[in-house]
Amino acid sequence: MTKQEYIGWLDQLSVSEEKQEEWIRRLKEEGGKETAERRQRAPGCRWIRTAVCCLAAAVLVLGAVKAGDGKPDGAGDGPQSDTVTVIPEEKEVSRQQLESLLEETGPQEMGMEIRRIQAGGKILEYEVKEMEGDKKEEAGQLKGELLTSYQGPEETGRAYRISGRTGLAYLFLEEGGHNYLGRFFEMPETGTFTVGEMLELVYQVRGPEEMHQVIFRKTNVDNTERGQSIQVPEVSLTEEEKEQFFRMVEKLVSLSPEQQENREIHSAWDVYGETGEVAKVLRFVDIITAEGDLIRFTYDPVQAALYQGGYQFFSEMTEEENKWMTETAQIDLSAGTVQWKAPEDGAEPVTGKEAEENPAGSFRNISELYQYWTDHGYPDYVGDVYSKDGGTENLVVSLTGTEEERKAARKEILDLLQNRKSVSFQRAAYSRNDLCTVLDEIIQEMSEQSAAGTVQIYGAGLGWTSVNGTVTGFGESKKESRVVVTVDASVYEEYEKRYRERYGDRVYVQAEEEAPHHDLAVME
Amino acid sequence: MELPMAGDTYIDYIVRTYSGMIYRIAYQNLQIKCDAEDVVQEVLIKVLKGPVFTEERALKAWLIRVTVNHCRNVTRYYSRHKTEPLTETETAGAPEDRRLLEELARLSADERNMIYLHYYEGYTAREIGEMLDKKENTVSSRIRRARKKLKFMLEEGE
Repeated sequence: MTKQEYIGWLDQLSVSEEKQEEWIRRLKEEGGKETAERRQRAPGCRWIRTAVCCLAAAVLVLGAVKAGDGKPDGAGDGPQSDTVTVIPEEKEVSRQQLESLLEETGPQEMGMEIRRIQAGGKILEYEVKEMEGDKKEEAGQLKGELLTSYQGPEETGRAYRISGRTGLAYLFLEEGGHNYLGRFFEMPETGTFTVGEMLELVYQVRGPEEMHQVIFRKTNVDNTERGQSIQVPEVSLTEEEKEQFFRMVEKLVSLSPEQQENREIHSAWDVYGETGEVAKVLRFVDIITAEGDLIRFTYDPVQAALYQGGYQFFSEMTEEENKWMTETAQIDLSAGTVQWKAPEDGAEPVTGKEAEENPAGSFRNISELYQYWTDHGYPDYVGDVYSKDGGTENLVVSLTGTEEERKAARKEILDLLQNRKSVSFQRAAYSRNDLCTVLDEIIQEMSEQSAAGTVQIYGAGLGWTSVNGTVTGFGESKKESRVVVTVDASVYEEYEKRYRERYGDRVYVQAEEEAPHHDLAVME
Repeated sequence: MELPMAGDTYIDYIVRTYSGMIYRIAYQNLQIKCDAEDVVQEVLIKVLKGPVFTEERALKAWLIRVTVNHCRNVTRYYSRHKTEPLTETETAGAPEDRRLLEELARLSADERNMIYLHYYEGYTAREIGEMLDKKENTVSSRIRRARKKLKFMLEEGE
C-alpha cells in the first residue's frame, strides 16, 4: 500500500448527503434545544474533566449493545421525553431504553414497571417498583441501590443504581456462574475484575474532586485455609495520592483489548510462599464517593512483582510515578511476618567485593534499573526479571548467552548499580525481547481469529504458568519465562505441534475446555 | 475558530464537518459499514449529551477520542461474545476496498488509529499521544512499526 493509495481510499470513505440529513434530523429531534441552551450557559471546558465525561459516556454507550443479536443498538430508539416513561406491559424494550428510562427516573422514586426486557437472547421479566426505604437492601451500600432482581432457573438478573450522582441503573445478568453483560455487573465484596471492568466502574467517578475517600485495605488471604484472612489497618490516601490514583486510572483506561487479554492468563495463577503453601496477597482499593457509593477493586501486588511480562496493568502500577501503589508489597503483618519467596531456583546473589557499594552507578538499585528497562526496553541479554520475595527491591535478573557473555552482561549491570546487594543472577535460555517478538506474532494471530470469528486461541502472555495449582516456571531453574498460549482443547495438539515446530520451546501451549469468560475473572 | 452557538446550526455544523472523520475512524476499526455508521450516530448523540466546547480544536480532539474509545468498546464486546460470521453483503464491497482493509488488518487498532491521525489528519505524535493517552515515544514507535508493517512511505524517504 502506498501513502497515496491510503489517502485516496480514505478520501472516498465519505458519508452520503442523505445519511447526514438523516442524522441531523434525528439529532435535532433528540436534543437540539437542550444543546443550544447548554451552549449558551457553558462556562468553558476543562479538558481532563470532559475527557473523563466522554469516557464515562463511552461506557454508557457500551450498554447500548444489544445482547440479542450481538450488535450495537441503533441509538435513535431511545425515549425522547423529559418525563418518566412507562413502558406498557409486555412490551419488549432494549437495554438502551431501559438505561435511558432509569436515567430519567434516577433521583426520583422509581415509579414505573418494566415487565419484559430482552437481554442475552432471552426474555426476562423485570419489575422496577417504587423505592421505599426498607427496600434499600444492605447491599445498597456496596452495590448501589438494588432496584430489582430476577431469578430464573439458570440465570439471575439484577438491576442496581450504582451511582447516586447519575442515578443510573445498571443491569447485571448472570448465568451458570458466567457474567454475560460485561459492563453490567455486581460488585462482590471481593473479586478481581478485568482491567476494563474495573476502569469502567471506577469511571463512575469523574475526577478526584468527586472522591470522598480512597482507602487501601491490605489483606493477606491464605488460600490453604479458605476464608481465613488477616487484615491490617486501612490506609487512606492523601489528596495528592487521590489525584495520582485517578490520573493513573485515567491512563490505564486506554489499554488496548490485547493488553487486557495479556493479563487474563495470569489472573488465575497462584503465588507460593516459602514453605510451598498456596498463598496470595490481595490489595483492595476502595473509593468512596461523595454520595457514599463504594467502588472497590482488587489487585495483587505479589503478582505485580512476579509477573511483569505481559502484565500491563500491574506493571503500570510499578512505574515510578505509581510506586506508592506497590511499595507496600512486602507486607509485615502484625500477626506474623509473611515472606513471599520464590522456590529455590539457584539464583546467585552478589557477594564479596562485587557487592560493595558503587557510588558511580547510574541507578540506586536494581529496582530503578528494572524500571528503566520497563520504560525504555530491555537489553537483549536479559531473559527476564522477577522478585524472589514479592517486593520490588530484591530482584533476580536472568541472563542469556554463553558463560562469557553472561559474565560480561553481569558486569555491565553491576556497573550501573549503586547498591548491588539487591540483585541476583540466573541463566535463561531466551531473551525477553526474543519472546516478546513471538508473543506479538501470536497476539496478531489471535486478533485475526477474533476478526474472522474463528477463535481458537483464548489467551497469550509472557511468564510462568500454573499446573495443578502449582506455579511453575520453565528452564533448568524452573523460573524462566515462556510465551504461554491457551487454546481450545479441541485444537491443542495441532497448536502444540505447530508452535513447537515454529518456535521451539519458546512457547508453552495449554488447553482450555471452553472460552474463558473475561467479564468477571474471580481469583480463587 | 468560534463554533456556532445556536443548537440547530451547531448540529448541522458538527454533522457536516465531522461525520466523515468519525466514519473513517470507525470504518478502519470495525471494517463493517453499518457498524461504522452506528458508531457515527452514537458519537453524534454524545455531542448532544457530552461536554460543550467553544474551541474547534478541543471539539475535534474530543470527537476523535470518543470515537476511538467507542470503537474499542464495540470491538471488546465482539471479542467477548460469539457473533455470527459476516455475510458477503455485510463485508466491504469493492475488491480494492477489501485489499486495503486486509492490509490494515495487519495493524493493531492503536496502530490504525495513529496512522490515520498522523497521515490523514496531520496530527503530531505528541498531539496523538495527548488524545489517545499514550506517551509521545509510544506513538512514534507505533507509527514506525505500522509503517513497517504496511511497507508504505518507505520509498518516499519519510
